[in-house]
Amino acid sequence: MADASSGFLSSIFPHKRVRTVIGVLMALLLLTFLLRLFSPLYIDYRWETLSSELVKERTRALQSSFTTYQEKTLEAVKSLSTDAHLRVQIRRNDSSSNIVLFEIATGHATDSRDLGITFQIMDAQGEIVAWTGNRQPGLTKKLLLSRPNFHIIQGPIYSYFFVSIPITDGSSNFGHVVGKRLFEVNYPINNRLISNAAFSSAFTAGLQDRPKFFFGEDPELSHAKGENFFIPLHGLNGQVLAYAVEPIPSQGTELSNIISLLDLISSVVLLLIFAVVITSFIFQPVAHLKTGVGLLSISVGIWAFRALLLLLEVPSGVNENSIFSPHYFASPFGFGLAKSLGDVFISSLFLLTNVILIAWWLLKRIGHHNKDYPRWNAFIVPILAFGFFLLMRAFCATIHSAVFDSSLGYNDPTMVLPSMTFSVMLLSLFLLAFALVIVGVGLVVLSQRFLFGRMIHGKNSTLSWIATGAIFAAVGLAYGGLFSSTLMSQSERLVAVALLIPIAWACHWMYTRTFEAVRFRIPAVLFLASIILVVPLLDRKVHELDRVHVELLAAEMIRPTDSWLSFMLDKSLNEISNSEAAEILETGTAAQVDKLAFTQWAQSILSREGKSCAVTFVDNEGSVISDFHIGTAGHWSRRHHMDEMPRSTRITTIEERANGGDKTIKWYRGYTPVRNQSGDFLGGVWVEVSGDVAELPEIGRGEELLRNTTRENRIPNARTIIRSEYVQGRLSTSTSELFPTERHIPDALKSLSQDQSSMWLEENVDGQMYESYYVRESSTPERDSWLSLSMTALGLQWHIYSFLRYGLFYVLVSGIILILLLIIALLRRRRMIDFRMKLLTAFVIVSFIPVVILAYFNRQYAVRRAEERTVRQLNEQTTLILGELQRRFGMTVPAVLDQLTDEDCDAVAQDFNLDFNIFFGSALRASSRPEIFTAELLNPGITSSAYLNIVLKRKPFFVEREAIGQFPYLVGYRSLVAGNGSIVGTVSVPTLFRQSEVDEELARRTIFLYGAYIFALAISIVIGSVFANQIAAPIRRLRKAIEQIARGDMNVELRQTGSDELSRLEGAFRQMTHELRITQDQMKRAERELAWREMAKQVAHEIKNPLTPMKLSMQHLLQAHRDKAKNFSEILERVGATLLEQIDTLSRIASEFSNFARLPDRLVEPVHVHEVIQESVNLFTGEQTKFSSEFLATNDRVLADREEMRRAFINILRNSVQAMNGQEGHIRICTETTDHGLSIAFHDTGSGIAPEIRDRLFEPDFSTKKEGMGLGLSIVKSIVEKAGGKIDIKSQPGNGATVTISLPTYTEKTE
Amino acid sequence: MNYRQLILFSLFVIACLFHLALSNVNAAQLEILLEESGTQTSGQSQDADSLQILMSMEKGIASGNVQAFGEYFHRQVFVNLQNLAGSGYYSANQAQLILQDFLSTRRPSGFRFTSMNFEKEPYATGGGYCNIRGNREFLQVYVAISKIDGRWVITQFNIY
Repeated sequence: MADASSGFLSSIFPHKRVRTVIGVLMALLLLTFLLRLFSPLYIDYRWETLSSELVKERTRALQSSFTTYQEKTLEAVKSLSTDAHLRVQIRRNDSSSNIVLFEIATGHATDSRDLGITFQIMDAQGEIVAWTGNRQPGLTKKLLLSRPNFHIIQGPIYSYFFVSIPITDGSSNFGHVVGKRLFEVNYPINNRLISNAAFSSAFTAGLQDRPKFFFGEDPELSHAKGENFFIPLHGLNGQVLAYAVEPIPSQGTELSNIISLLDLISSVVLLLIFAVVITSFIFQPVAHLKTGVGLLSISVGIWAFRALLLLLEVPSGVNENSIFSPHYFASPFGFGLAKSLGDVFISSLFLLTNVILIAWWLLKRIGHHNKDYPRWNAFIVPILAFGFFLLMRAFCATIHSAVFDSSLGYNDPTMVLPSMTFSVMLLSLFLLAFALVIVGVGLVVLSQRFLFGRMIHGKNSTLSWIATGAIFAAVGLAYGGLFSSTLMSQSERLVAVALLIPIAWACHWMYTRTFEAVRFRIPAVLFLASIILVVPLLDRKVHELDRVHVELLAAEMIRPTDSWLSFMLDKSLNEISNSEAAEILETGTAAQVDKLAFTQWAQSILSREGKSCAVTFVDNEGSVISDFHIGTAGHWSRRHHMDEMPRSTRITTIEERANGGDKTIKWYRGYTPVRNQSGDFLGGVWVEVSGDVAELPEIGRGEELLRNTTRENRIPNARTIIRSEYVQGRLSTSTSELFPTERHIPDALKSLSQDQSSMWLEENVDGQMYESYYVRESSTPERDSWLSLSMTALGLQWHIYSFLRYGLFYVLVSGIILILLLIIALLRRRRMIDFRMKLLTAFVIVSFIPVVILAYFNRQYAVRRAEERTVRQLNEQTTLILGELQRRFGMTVPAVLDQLTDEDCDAVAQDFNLDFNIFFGSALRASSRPEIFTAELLNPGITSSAYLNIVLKRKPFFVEREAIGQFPYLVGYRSLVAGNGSIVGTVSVPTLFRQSEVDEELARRTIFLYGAYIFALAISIVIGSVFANQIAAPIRRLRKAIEQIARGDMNVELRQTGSDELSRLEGAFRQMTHELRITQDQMKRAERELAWREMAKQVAHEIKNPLTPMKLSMQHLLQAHRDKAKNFSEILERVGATLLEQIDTLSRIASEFSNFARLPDRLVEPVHVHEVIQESVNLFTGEQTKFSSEFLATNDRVLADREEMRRAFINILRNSVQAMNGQEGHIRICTETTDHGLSIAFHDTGSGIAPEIRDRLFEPDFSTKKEGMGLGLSIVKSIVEKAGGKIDIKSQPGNGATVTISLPTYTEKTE
Repeated sequence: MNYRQLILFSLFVIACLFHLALSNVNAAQLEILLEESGTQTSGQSQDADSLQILMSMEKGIASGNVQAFGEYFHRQVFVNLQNLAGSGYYSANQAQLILQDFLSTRRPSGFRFTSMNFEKEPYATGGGYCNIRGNREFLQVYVAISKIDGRWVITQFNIY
């Protein structure tokens, strides 16, 4: 049974390694299955102990982390507090010392930048005299002790950990140094710019889980004790600073985690098993594929396996939230083959594998055949061309789907290299393009072959390729005429043919030159062609995507939103008046209540949808206690609600208000009371949502920063969209001043029927080309209005940018693949890296290093230039804002500044389209975007650097890099100087709201920069390749010549192609070979002559011996005849006998020489030695000698000529028999297997061989026998050596002799 | 391994696929159709097709079968599912698969639209309870349809 199963497995998986791997994986699968089966029992049995250990482990880990966190902070604070300069300056405590203190603190903060520590230096009275980072929050005076103190200040969003150390000389206290570090962040918004993970300096960011913290006295009173356990976090002074609240380990949760882990492992193992099986199934039989049925079976197997993976949801089921999520991409195409991004990638891999197999099979099967095809095969060519265009259409449909059925950032202007998910899509498209190009090239080459009958070794005229191209082009045009589609235009089909034909020709040309081209050159050409195929098609589709996005924007703008906004209002009132709000209103701290409107807004539908709105909480007496507004919602709401009485019932209304101009906006307004669980009335919340049409979204605007969603941006390729409105045929409003006010609606729209409500137009406005989308807003006799969204038309520069962007990615991928191939080749020590490759690698490295260095420094330079440009802009903008503020408000005295409001700033900001903030001293006074400060994205205080430079050092302008989490931006500060010369405040303009423009510009520069360098590198590689080829060519020719000579062929053709060293070497080698050939010929001739002379001498000598007695006998016979001797008859008989005897001798001599010289056709084949020995022994039956054999060799097969072997064995046996001298004797033949092959020993009991003649036994003319020619053993030696063996004779005179033959045995591998 | 074995193996795999496919079909045929319920409507019905779409959606959501109304998705539809990451515009194909994924784990039992409005831009809201990891949660659905190019299509699908 075991043998049967083993045989079955061997038949499926012929390689032992594969069987071993599958065995190990199966064992692992079984183990995970058993663990899954028994883990619930084990956990149930030991739960109490496990639970306790989990709690202890969690407690220990958290406390240890907190101790480390404190120690590092303390060390940094100590370093500052013991600074000698600090002690000197703090004692002076005047304005000049403050500057030094700022600088000292900044220096220390820079040293501990990784920890995110900021410092505050306080004087003896507890007043802050210098600080780093943001000033607020700070420690109160009562927490400044005469010893190191540790404290945590909790806020509704940020909590900070403080360490204070007194500055003392032992007796006097000069002040304190306070170190501040972010402890916990509970930011209610999570989007691509803002997330808790972005605040990496927080204590909680370093923890595996995010525990909740409690900062009160007795946590067990406030939290359900049965569900949680509390971990006290001690300060280094022993005081409890906070409690971490963790849920008590749940048996179900732990079990679920373990089972999830085991499921993951088993899925991965299953996947590996499948991978091994598929690899074995696909690639093992391919090497022996001979029939089309076999190929078809494998192809069916591949796709059946793919379908099986889809049905079993492997690997998509392993990680649903990864690239297998439909959020990135989803298409119903191919019965699930492309239902997610990951599935597309796997399907593409399968398709490419299948295509390569088919191509390889075709190449092997018909690639080298040179046969004429029937003429009717030419008629198949249009069908092949038609098939190509069908496949091309499918590929274009895939590209279309890849763009339109996905949410990937095709139009992200800041993208230099694509994200992970986007990379998977680009790779998938490349794999599909690669498969299509292989098929296309194959179809073209087949067509050309069918047309002309010869392809590989035949004569291919240029005309044949042109004719093939012409047929393909004609079929393409016909296809386009019959099946018109937007997927691919006629011109694109023609371009595809125009590219495909030269590529096919190039591949064919390389293939006919050397088969080795299949390994590298042809794939490289196909690789390049695939990239060329993908990029333009993708570029066109992305352009179309821009238009779709514009259409969506327009639809949003004109869509009646009454029902949606009513629903949103209702939903938000429900969400905002939840139990959490009630709890904060009832028991929350003042800070929590203050932030209530923002935190509730952030968690509601209002934040997710990003509408302009206002949320205002009022207490049960009607006073506003918390408010937050965003967008165009102004402070109207706050003032308005203060006049209203609180209500205990819910209301919703729709009001119309003027927006400041001639337009009225609908406001969806609602109120709901907030009650606790007992039903007590605690207050209420007003929600107002603007019914204004949707605004054009812009990246980096406050709206996006404060949007609680990762919604993909929908800005078309960073092209600014101009919104215009036409009423009664004339331009009414436009967001661009370039659109003239007297502009009329385009004539093309006037001819539209009433059913047609939209149209794309390309129009020239003031010399600039625009793509404009017109959509009808209303069409009544009273009001005929159109909305227009225009974006600048794409120019050549954009297409180059787009090509470079995708090209950059593919170049990077190909670079990685090349490096991997090189590493693999190095590891396997393959011949792939020949001299030419080494030269090319050297050229590439030599080109690459300066290019990388230049690119790096140029990039740095570009970044610096971009920053300088931004700084210049900030300089101008702060000046502009400052001038406007002074013009409007006459801000020359602090009193005026104190009266400035957010609304005043908003008005200026609207006019100049620039957001800014005003600081009074170190505190924020007013802002055009107060919601950013309310939301605590920005600290409402000036930074230490700005304060130092603007206020203390009195610099007129200062720029600083700041960050929200990991989102960096620049801020320009300008001092606000009063009439008396004193600095009364500071104006700041952050690039925060325009950061996207900065990023986009930088991305664009980077793409063009790297694009240029990659282009230069590509040219270097091409030129390097040509040079490497030329330099290495003589060496390659020399190597080939040497190999040819080594094979014995001296007819080497080398020509001197130049006058350099290598060419001269070639010439010298050719001369040397020529002389060698002459010398060899002379030597051969001399050897032949010598051999003939030897032979003639030998023949003469041998013939002469019998001729003498023959001559004497004949003379004797003649004399007897003359003498008429009486016994003539007797003499005649005797002479006749002698003559016959000598003639026999001559005949034997002739026979021996004939055997020696004869070179019959050898038939080398595996020969069973035991059989041949036995046949030879049988010839000696009847002799007095006894024979015995002992065949111990396990493998008796040798590669030799059977007849030769037999002759050799007969010679040896005859010698042995003759050595018995007619006496009885014994010959024993033994065989055995040795390390070197087969050993055959012939032992005889004859007279033996004298030592003095032993060395001459194999000489051709040496013999101890009278009748012997001395050729027997010489022939034996010749036969044995031809079979690759050796012969040896050992003997003691009188004790017989042993002839031993060693022969290499034959195995299957010998072949 | 010879080709005969390979063909046998391939046939075996194909048989498995057919078996699994047939099982799915049988399961699909056993879907329970929900009874139509009395839903509050407002506004004047502009087109019987719009009502038909909303009714198809109601049945489809209740049975967790997105294909029942998948053909009505606009080519770009706004989808928001319980604040899961990635709310935004999706193609009809994507929207169908995203919703199918969502409803396969959170099928609201007894779902029905409680309110339908046919003014200007028709919409419907409704809800139903579903079990998510042992917790009973209420799913509120808001859908909006529009007449684009003479055809009623679903333009918004929100689940809160």
